[in-house]
Amino acid sequence: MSRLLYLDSCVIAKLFLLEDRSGEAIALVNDPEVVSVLTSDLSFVEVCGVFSRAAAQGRISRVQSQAFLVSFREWFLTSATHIAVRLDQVLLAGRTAVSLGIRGADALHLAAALEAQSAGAMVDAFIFVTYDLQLAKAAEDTGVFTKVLH
Amino acid sequence: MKSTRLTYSVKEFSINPSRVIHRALQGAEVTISLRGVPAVRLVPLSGAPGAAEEVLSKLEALPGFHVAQLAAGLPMPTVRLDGPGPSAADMILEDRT
Repeated sequence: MSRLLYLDSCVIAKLFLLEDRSGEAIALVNDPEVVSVLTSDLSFVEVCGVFSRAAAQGRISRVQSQAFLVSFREWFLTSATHIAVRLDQVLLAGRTAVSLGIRGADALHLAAALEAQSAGAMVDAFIFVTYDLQLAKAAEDTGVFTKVLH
Repeated sequence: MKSTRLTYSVKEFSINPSRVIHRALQGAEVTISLRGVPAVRLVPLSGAPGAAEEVLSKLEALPGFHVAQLAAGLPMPTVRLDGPGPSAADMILEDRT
């Protein structure tokens, strides 16, 4: 069955910064049944921030970080369904953060996923994917079908 | 566009009704046969939850959604994260706190 995946930025980071346990995320995205991956525009900034931090720590070179930025930007703009951060979404995220007791960025991802899911996907055709247990629980509490990677 | 025609017996339908209904929701013409004779046709109702492709086309109409089909494979280069320190995912979670 065809699927849409909403990827939390934690998952996207592991697609590009290969490390232990990246394999599960890569396999998930490369599943031929996945039609599109969705994420908030917030993810672009979050993932670039990780790359900057990795370069500052000397865990990747500056040259690698520049190459990554080009590659990641291309992928984000052409291969991912990215969802703009809008005022109405921010307001929904604020309400969600308060009602579920979650962090602001988590709430913004959840708001974007909820908006996408409301387009009417079958329950298991839209999957919210994250490495964050707290965010996964919040997503499940709001009725989003969720997969937690470990 | 020509849709796929599928026929299931009542027994096949009863073994996995969810799969059969999903196929109908994905646009297949699904018929249930009783003793080898076509008896029932499954037709999705307007507003029923849809398959991924259908949802994607709905998302295209929403403001702020930039829809893209996933290209095969991931772009290169990817980079191996060396040395001690938090994982890429943990770095993002730390940034959020």
